[in-house]
Amino acid sequence: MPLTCFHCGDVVPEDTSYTVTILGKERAMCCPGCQAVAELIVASGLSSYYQHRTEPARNMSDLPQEIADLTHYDIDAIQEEFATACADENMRETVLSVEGINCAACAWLIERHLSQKKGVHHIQVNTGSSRATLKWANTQIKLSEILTAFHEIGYKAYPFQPIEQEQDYSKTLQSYMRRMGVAGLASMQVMMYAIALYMDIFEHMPAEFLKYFRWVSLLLTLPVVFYAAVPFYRNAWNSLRFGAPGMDVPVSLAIILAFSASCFATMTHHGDVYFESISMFTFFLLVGRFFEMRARNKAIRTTANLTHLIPALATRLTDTIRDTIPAKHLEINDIIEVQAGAILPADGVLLNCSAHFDEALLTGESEPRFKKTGDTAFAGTVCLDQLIKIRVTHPPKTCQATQILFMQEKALGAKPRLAALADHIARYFVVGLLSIAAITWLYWHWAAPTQAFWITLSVLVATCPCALSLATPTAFTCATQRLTQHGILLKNSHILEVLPKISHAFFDKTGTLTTGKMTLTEVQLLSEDLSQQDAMDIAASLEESVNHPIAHVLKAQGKQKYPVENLTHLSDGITGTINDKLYHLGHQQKTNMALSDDTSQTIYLTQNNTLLAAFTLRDEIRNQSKNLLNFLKTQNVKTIMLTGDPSDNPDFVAQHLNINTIYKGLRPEDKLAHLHQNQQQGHVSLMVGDGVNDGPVLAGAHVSFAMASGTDLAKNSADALLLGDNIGKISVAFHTCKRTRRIILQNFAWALGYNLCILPLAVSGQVHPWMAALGMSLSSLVVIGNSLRLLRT
Amino acid sequence: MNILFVLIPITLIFVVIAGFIFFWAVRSDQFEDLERQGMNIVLDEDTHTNPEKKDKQQ
Repeated sequence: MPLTCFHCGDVVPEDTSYTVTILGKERAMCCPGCQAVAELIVASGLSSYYQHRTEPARNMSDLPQEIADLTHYDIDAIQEEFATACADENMRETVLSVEGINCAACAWLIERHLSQKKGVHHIQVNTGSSRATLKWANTQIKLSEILTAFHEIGYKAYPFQPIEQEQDYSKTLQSYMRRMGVAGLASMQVMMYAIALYMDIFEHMPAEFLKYFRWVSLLLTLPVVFYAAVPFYRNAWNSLRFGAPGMDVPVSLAIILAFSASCFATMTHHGDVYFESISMFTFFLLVGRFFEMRARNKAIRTTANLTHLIPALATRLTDTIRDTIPAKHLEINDIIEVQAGAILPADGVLLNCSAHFDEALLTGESEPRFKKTGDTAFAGTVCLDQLIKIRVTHPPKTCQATQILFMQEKALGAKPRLAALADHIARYFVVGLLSIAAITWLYWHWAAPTQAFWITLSVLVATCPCALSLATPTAFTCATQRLTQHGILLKNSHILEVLPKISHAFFDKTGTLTTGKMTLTEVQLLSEDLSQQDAMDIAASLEESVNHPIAHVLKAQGKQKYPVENLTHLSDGITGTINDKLYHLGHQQKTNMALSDDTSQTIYLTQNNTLLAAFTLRDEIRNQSKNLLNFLKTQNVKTIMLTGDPSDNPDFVAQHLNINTIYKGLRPEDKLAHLHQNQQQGHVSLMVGDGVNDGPVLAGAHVSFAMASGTDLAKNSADALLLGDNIGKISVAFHTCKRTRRIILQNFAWALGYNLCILPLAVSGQVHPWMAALGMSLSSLVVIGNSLRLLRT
Repeated sequence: MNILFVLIPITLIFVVIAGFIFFWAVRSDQFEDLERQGMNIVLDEDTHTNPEKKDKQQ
């Protein structure tokens, strides 16, 4: 049984001994990093963290060297971008995105540890969204010191700006909560008075109490009608303006008319009042809307934790002075310096240097591209080998990554929306209801004119658009919740209706259908002079300082025990000298051995032109991809692969998974073009992707999923996230959507059925206010209860 | 029964106070992370039993 680190849960390497006394016992640690953090936590009196946490902490062995760079965030020009000054001049506020929060105890730990620092005025950490709001006195403590404090206990924090969409959502959510609270409080009070008024039927109540209760009810209903229900009026008005009456039209009509009539009744002392029905209407509907919004908000926040797609800072060189400036201040022809392993802040031309670049962010391909002096390197890509200097050709505003962003926003704006079932029903319902109400009024005006108005009103109130309005939102909320439990985070609820209707499914290859990570699958010894382990050790030693994905794989397999001299980077690999022997490690097409299938890449180790070993690396296809594609076949959905990879690899993957059509070597604009072409033919499309280059297609498709491990742009553009990268879950989503549709239809059937039953009673003048209120509550409960069935499997 | 003329206005005052308190709670983000705030009680309890350690830290 291997010993595991008490702090992070990783295996403790043999022949190491780091321990910390926590909660009275000596605990094993896996590395000095974890040990340091654990000691600090205990010394600060925060050991309850260990007692109550539900998840292990982050492994601390790879503490980033970014701590030195944190001081950049103190520069005022840069802080202006994300921090806001408070009324008190020395105080500043900002939102931080925090990495490494795994459970509620983490949030508590951070808050306690940071509150102990002098100058930190307020810190609140939100577990669900991994955010922290921070207010600090800039004269007493610097932001970099605060960020370092995060590092001390093992978390990475950086300032960021929430995207607009998210800020709006937060505000809307809070506003709904306030309105809900008002409606709730009012409903409870008014209901009490209403019951007293109902009793009037059984025992006659003295007139002054009647008047009194009615006036008090009116007073309490005022905030409901003029504040809490306002979102309904707004939506109703908007939907009418576009000529398609939505669900909120009957709701608003009922509220306004019932309130006016009840006021009139109160002032003229005759007729019925419906204040309790109005308040309850509003309350139930607000609750429904609120839960729906909150489910969506969670998903949006999770995706919005932005690392910078394009880094905030750049190092500019002007006549040998090195300047750190915000990247957005870069201009064309500036010369900037980029460290090895860092992300490029702008598009530029390489000056007097050459290096490999990881362009995965843009093309999705993990195979690094080699560029020499004069070639253009792109913002958002990672420089792998060494420090480079580039002359800026496109500053962040116009660089390729930003252009993809624009493309994505445009595609999002043009995203086709299939009309929701609820909207169809709403249209017919409004027309039907108004006609019946008109007919009722006409009849009673002829039969018994004094009653006409009250009976017509009771028709409007009793037919209760309440249950009808709750039919879809409650089902959506429950379905969203269920899907979240399965690991699918929905950002839009329209996906629930559209997913079962798709006819074509588009997939990205690398990172979506495949894992996107290289693994070593085969080592072939081609010489008898050394053992397999030796070959791996030599390879690992050669790759020691290289930042290539292939290097990482080889380093994991072998021990880096040989010192290497004269390490040189070539376009197809590296060469180095170990123990006076010259080795070459790289791609070589010299062999005619039929080694492996086509998903692989083979790296050859040669010494003085003698082949020593061949390492086969493969980007593995995810197991669930096959299941998903088989499932889609049973649903008669055509499958298409859209990939930027121009090699033979896509053909192999497509063959293995039985994909109908492949398009390879595509740029982002090409992918989008294929999607639009498909949509113009009237098909309904699904897209699954993970890279920046998938962004526009994810935004423009009818329904889209992004992998949780994908790029932030992809996650922001898609309608839903697949947690755990389990692409097979899409079939679960299909089933859930179909069930949801059934439940919604049942809800509508019930609501309409109820309305039809109570209509004759209302038209003939039999419905008293208490019956209207009761009917509304019961029918709403039935709809909610039916929707709750979605929470079970 | 005339007492109702007094009781109901008193209730209304309480309702208004409750309303304001609710608004304040919403504004100070107390409904943001309901799970976490619940845990605070459990976690905080222990630090109060270690006042000496905290003093040393300061």
